[in-house]
Amino acid sequence: MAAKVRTLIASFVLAGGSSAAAQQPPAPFPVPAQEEPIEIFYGTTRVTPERAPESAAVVPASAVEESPKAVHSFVEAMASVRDGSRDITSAAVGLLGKVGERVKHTADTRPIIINAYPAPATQTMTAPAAPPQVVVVREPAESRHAEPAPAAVRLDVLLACGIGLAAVGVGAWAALRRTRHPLQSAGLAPAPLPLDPNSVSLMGKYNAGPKREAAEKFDLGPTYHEELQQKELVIEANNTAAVEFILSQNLALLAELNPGSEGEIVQTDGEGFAVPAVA
Amino acid sequence: MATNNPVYVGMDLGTFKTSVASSTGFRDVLPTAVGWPKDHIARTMLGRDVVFGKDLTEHRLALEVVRPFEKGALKYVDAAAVGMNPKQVEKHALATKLVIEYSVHAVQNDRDRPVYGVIGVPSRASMKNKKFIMDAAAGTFDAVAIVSEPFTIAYGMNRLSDALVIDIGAGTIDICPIYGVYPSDEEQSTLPLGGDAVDEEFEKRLKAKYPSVQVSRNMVRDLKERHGFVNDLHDAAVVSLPVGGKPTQLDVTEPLKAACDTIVGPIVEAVRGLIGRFDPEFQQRMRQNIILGGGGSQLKGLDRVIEASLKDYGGAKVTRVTDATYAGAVGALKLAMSMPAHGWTALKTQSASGKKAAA
Repeated sequence: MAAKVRTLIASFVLAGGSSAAAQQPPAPFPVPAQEEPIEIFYGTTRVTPERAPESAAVVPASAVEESPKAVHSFVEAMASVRDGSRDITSAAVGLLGKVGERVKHTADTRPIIINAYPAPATQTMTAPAAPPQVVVVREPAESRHAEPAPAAVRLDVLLACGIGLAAVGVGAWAALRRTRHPLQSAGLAPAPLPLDPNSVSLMGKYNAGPKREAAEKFDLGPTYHEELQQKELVIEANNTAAVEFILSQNLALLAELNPGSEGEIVQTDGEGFAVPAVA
Repeated sequence: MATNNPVYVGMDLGTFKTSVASSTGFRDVLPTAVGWPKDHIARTMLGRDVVFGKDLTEHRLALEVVRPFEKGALKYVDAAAVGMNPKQVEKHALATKLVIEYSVHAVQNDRDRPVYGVIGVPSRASMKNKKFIMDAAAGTFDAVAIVSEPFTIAYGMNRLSDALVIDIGAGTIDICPIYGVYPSDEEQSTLPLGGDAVDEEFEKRLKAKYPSVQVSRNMVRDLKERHGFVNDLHDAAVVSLPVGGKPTQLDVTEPLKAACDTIVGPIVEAVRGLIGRFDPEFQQRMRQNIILGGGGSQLKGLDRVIEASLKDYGGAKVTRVTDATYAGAVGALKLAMSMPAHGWTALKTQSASGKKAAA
């Protein structure tokens, strides 16, 4: 049991005075010797005033890193405690708990390096939606090294807050820069939409949308004179029909009164009237 | 542009609706209103700069809608009388031009042919009103003639004599005797009320009877068109309207009849006065040939009420036009087609010289 405790303590010692045992603050956010400007992107557009230099090669984040042995040992010790393969005192458990919490809240100090994103050639200001903002922190991989413990206040948290505030400020600045077209009265109409070849153009400048298809075919009907002529034709036809009816009625009456006279041939003149018989 | 083979157009430029008919064989009707999108979002959604037709109702919340002749303004009533400032007049003039051009475009396929048109106006429209219409039509028509609206109705029915036409529109009611010649202004009569006034009165009375009812002007107009009546023998008008958001069956018979009755008295008085001033030999013939036109002619019982009101004057016979929507436009088209070519040439020449003088 004592041997195990000693092993544990040795692990802590070998961890190089890690923050877990010595209650020292975690490694601060590494600041490179030559401070690179922070790039802030609004969507895919760089909004920082100066252009950053060409980026270094991308260094993918790796789960396997050449970290100091101290960290390794500490992690191993924690793992063994978790697994129950190592016996420790309750005080050590409490200590390890505090360490665990501190490790949990410590910022990831691994650098995030992203290649510079070239700004697009054109960016219209009429995009309706605001794309999310991306903050890129540039840092060469080889500059990472352990820094001595700074003041009690955690610089990584401070820096993160500062970056967040800067991002909000830049976003607000970009939003204010975006021009908005004011509400226009009908008399001062804004620039018309590009004209679709199939749309209707009014007064040479107003796009009224696609051609209206609601028009219906119709018959105009007769004019006044045509209607008069038709009325006259109808009157004439009625008169003719009445006359023919009267004629046929009288012929039938006469045939009844004078049987045998139907076949009689009568001479007529040029107008159709009967010529008196020559005595 | 071809100088012969023109297109003739007849137009009834109404307060609420504009109907147009052309010699190409097509006719159309659309609201006399223009909508401008209120902002960029609306323009993007609608995909156009100006909006006409039923889209005005469907998207009215996204549009600034202008009815240039509301309550007879500019067509009959002077702009100053309705309290319009010069900027509003300019906007209404622009709206009028756009409506005219759009409606003509709907019935005319060939833009290269000259367009000669006849437009109906209220019987007692002033010179200023007529000039306003002519200026609005100048960009669309190569030559335009302005004619009294009821006369176009009579001409369309081939009733050129012994008739009295009553054109009941949304903004004005025009009464015109037809006796074989074009009537003078003094022989005609225009009343500054119509369907819009009935809508306003109906809405006021409805809200007085049912304070919690929620109605819009469009709903009121629709109720009037479906249930409007002026005679005594009529079924009750019970309709479903929202009250506090909840559909509720309401009896609107009394406020509706009272609202529709507001135009009967003035019409009867104007008809009696006009017939009384006419040649006594022709009064009987005129009373027996009274024609109701316009959208208001569809009010149930109006023809019988007018007949009853002229009983003491020797009786009357009132008929309604068969097609209230297009009667004016078709009549205007017939008039345009019957006008001789030299008449159109003279109109075109005078119009062009007038523009030069103004410039």
